[in-house]
Amino acid sequence: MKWELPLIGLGAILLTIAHVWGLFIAPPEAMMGDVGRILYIHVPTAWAALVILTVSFIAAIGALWTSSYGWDAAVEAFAEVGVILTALLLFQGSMWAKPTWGVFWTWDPRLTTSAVLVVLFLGVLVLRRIVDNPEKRLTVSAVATIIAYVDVPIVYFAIKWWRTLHQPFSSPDTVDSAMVSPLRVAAFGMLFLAIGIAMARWRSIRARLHTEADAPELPDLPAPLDLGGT
Amino acid sequence: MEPAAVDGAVGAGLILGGWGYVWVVYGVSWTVLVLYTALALVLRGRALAAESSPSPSAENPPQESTS
Repeated sequence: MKWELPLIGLGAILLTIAHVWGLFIAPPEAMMGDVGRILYIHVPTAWAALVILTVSFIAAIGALWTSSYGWDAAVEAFAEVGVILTALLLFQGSMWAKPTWGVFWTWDPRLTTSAVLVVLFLGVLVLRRIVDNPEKRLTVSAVATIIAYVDVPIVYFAIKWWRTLHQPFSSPDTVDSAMVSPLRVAAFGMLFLAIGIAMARWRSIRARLHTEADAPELPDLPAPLDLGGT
Repeated sequence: MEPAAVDGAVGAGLILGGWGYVWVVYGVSWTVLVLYTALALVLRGRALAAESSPSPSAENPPQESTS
């Protein structure tokens, strides 16, 4: 059963409903006004990014454990989607920060650790392009993914561990009920969409890895000509 | 209802406007997500097509061009 198309379709529908709800029906936030509507896409992007990168971490352990190309493809697919979501997250956050904090960017712990997260997982993807040997690539990228994932809990707890401009943890108890529902629908929509995209990417990356493994090895290059002389 | 005062707050009030930021965020995010989804589905389609097509073998040699 191929789940990616139903997941992408369901995610897109839920996200559309939630964003129409958040943009046109939900009330403006008490202090942020209409700028607060950015949170209906920013917060679900953050949650989905952390979940997707966690799957990449689990896949890295699976790849190391089994040496399977299926797990190896999952590492790349989920890391790639995680990088896209985290980059979007930083963009959305900076656009929200300008009217609320007065600056697009500040070296706040939550922002800085999130930027480091993009760089680390981008590094994993670059590493996979650099290493040609499939077995070595599997091992190296899985280890790099596990090391990069160390930053995920740091991003999550940064607002608790350090003094920060970023809002503290919120829950349905701390958010008005008129805002919780569209936020919740958007969270599920973004998660389903992200998982669906990652599964589609997994299928094509796995096919590429299989093709690569089936390809005949190239013969060794001939030795350089000895032109004599000495 | 007035918003509750926050300890240590250096200012108070309501941010007015800012819809431009909202539209930019939603526009860019949706554009990136739609394009990335389309790319992922195109690559997935090619991978599925390659999986379903018979691979060249001794019984099924690749067709040579006659032109």
